[in-house]
Amino acid sequence: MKVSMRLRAYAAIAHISSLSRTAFSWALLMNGLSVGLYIWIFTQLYTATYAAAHVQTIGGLTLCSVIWLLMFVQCFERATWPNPIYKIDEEIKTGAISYALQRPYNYILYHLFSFYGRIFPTLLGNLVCGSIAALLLVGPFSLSILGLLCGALAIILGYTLDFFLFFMLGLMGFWVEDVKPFSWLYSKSKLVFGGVLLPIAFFPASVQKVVLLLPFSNLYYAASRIIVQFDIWLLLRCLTVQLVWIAILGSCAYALFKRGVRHVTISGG
Amino acid sequence: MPIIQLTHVSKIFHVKQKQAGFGASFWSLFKPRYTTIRAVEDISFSVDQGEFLALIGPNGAGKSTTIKMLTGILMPSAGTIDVYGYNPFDQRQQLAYHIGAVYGSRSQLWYHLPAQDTYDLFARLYDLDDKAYKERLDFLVTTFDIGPLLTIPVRKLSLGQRMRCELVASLLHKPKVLLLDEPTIGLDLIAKQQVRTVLKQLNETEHTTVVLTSHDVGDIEMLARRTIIINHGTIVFDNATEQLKRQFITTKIVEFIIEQPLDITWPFGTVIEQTPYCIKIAVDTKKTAIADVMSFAMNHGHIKDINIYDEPLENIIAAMYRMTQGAR
Repeated sequence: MKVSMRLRAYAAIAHISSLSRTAFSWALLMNGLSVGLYIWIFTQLYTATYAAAHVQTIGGLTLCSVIWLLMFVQCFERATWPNPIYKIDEEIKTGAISYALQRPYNYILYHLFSFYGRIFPTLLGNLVCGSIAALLLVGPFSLSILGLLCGALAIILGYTLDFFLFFMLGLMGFWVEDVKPFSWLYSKSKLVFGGVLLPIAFFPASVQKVVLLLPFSNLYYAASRIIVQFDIWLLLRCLTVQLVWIAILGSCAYALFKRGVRHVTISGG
Repeated sequence: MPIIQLTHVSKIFHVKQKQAGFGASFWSLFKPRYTTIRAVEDISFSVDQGEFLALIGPNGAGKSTTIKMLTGILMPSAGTIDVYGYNPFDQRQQLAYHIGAVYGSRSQLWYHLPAQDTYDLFARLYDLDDKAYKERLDFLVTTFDIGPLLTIPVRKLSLGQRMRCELVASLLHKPKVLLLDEPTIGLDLIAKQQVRTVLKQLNETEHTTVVLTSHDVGDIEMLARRTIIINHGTIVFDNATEQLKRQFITTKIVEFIIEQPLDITWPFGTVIEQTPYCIKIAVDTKKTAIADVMSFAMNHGHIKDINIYDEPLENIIAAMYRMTQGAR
């Protein structure tokens, strides 16, 4: 009973967060349109690349698969904007944390479910715009229901993983004046190692081995790859790496929060 | 029986110092300097169930820090705190079901959504069943007169309207203790009056224990039966508000806006500011009735407007110090 009530509470947090995000309907639309624009740029870029290389596949991916893969990665990644780093940092700096801390919920779970809720409407808009753009530019790919379901599971874990990294960087606000450099570094790491611009399948084999074990490639790239080109071994590796990182980063986030909360000073009286 | 108990509580902050200039900023990266601020120093007091306590003091006195230690947001550096049988910092989540808090300068309502959405969320967070929630919300909506505001996004509400909505949010789960940090800050007279009336009513009918911090002497005079004055982190007065009023809140500032310059000698009070079209007089209400001052002014010139203020809290505290030192 108690657990189900707590679950309802966290679901309500996700719900209101989602509702609040829909207040920015223009931002949602522009986000979706920008995904469409990126897909067009990727199509021009990779069409030229495949044509210059005179090949049908690179790293086991056809041009169509690459575009759909990047479409999913873009949709997933861009749905996290604006990222929670600034929200958490702002809560700490402005003292708004005083309300957030005195509620009967776990502060980390509150932000996690709020993050899930906020992503949802943006992701929906991105997927609609991105799919239309990809369909018009490269046509459909062979979608399997199993791939879609497993990809959905992987993306939930991917978002959870991303959240813990965002959360820890946001908590840096307890100790440093400005968290922007951390946020910048993290977003650029995702660009390079997260398969946001270049599929990791295109990396040299030795680099791929390392990159696929890092959290960055298991945020959105792994889930997108599962949706576009389902493979049971890919799924198992992705879920294992994700769960290990979630356990490590979740513990670190908890420890950091416990330490940070002792540093609350609440500016402005 | 005390519902809140603070014993020898202190709170010390270590704040990083920022020197002016590029060079100093650069070196502070390698050798940061910290300054120690003693926000609260060895304070002890208790609050009984159903009591209405005002915690007052000038800026930086330590009153908000005390409130935040009571809610469990800040950890005391020394001493013990007990609120409704819980240690606020270690048992914050359990305590949350029994306390409500409002911070005048911050909002707990979802900014882009109508207040109703936040209330629905809080009903889930505090495990309220649907029937009890509906009844409670109906009661509070009527009491605070916020019916027409429920469907307006919070960002479009005036400060007074928002504050009433904030108070409803804090009272939905029927807290035993209500902690209010400057709830009337920035409100106009009518909004202040509305908030005060409802708080008084809730304290009397639901026996909610209320601890309120304020800069406004009016809040204290109208609401609190007991007042604690904090200055520089220590308690300088802890007694019945009546006692405070009798001893210290005896001066009102009367401001006259006049059409023609007056050339008269005022037989009452002390003129503290005078320009050709404005005169401010400090009146000791123990010696002179405000009505006498007003009728004197109206008999001697054409008065365009009159304002009556309480003496600033800083002056009251200064008077207290003078009295304490005189007694020594």
